[in-house]
Amino acid sequence: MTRWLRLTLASALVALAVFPADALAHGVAAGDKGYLQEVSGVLLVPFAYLGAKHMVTGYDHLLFLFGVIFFLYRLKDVGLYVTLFAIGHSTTLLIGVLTGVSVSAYLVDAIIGLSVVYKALDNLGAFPAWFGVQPNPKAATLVFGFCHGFGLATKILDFDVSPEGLVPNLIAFNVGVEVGQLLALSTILIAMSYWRRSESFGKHVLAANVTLMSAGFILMGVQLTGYFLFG
Amino acid sequence: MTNPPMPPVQPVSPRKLLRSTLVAVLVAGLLLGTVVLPAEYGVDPTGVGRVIGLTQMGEIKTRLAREAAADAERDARATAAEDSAAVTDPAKAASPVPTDSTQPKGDPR
Repeated sequence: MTRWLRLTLASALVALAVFPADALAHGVAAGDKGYLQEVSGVLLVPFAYLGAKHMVTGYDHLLFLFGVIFFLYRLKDVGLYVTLFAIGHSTTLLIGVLTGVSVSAYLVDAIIGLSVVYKALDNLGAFPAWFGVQPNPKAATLVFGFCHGFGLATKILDFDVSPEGLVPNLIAFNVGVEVGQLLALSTILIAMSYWRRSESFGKHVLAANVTLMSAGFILMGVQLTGYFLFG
Repeated sequence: MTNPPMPPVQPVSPRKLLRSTLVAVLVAGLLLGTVVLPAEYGVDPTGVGRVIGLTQMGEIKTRLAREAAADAERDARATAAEDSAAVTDPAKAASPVPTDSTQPKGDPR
């Protein structure tokens, strides 16, 4: 009983820490939005910077990546999954912006929340336990990468970015996304490596992934409510 | 660089998994209902948000967002109107003092 209470309290605390309330207006910040509407032409470094910033400050992407590297401890594997995610993310970002196809940002962000829940369940081995099948983790990472990129495409479309130099700018943005992702993941990985060395890691796997799941459910709840209120 | 071998992780039983998932849903629902939805949208299904002051935050935030959206729309419309006026009516835009020319120059008395 006390164990569950502790688990619940810990989950609540961490989930709250992960959700600074004003950061929920996620995406490219207001000042950056103004900049994006103002400029035109090829601007590789500014766009790469914005891509990196989006990744380092985009807690929904970070939560998902935290889930993805939970059981990856070889740098090679981390690189593989990050690349898969980046391929997915970049593809739909380019396609979405260039074709002008956009879905409600609330719905895409709700799917991103779902991807966090999925990864937490996957880490706990829920799919073989419940359904007797283990979905291919590489395919899942790629598919959710597609969703994450689509979310960003929807936001960039809202900003009416100048068509001049759009393709090189978007590619620079994607390079920035990759750089930001590696920066953020290196930080997470250092902490994870210390944690994994400790004897207690095995005991905390459940609690950590339940917390991750809670955070994913909260993301879903916020975005779906937003969709029904303003979408 | 060598990595330490992964410590053994005990598989979680399906029952425990289900319970864990329910805990996650409950925690998420609790936080959404009492903290996040009041703070973000001013939606306060439990009344807790009003008591701890977060509903007011959400209400102000949604009001400001609405005002900002209305402002942006008005600005966009004004700019569009200005542009189309300048394009469709060059004579009007070019004439320096359109009204004064029709008025008498001096006092007739």
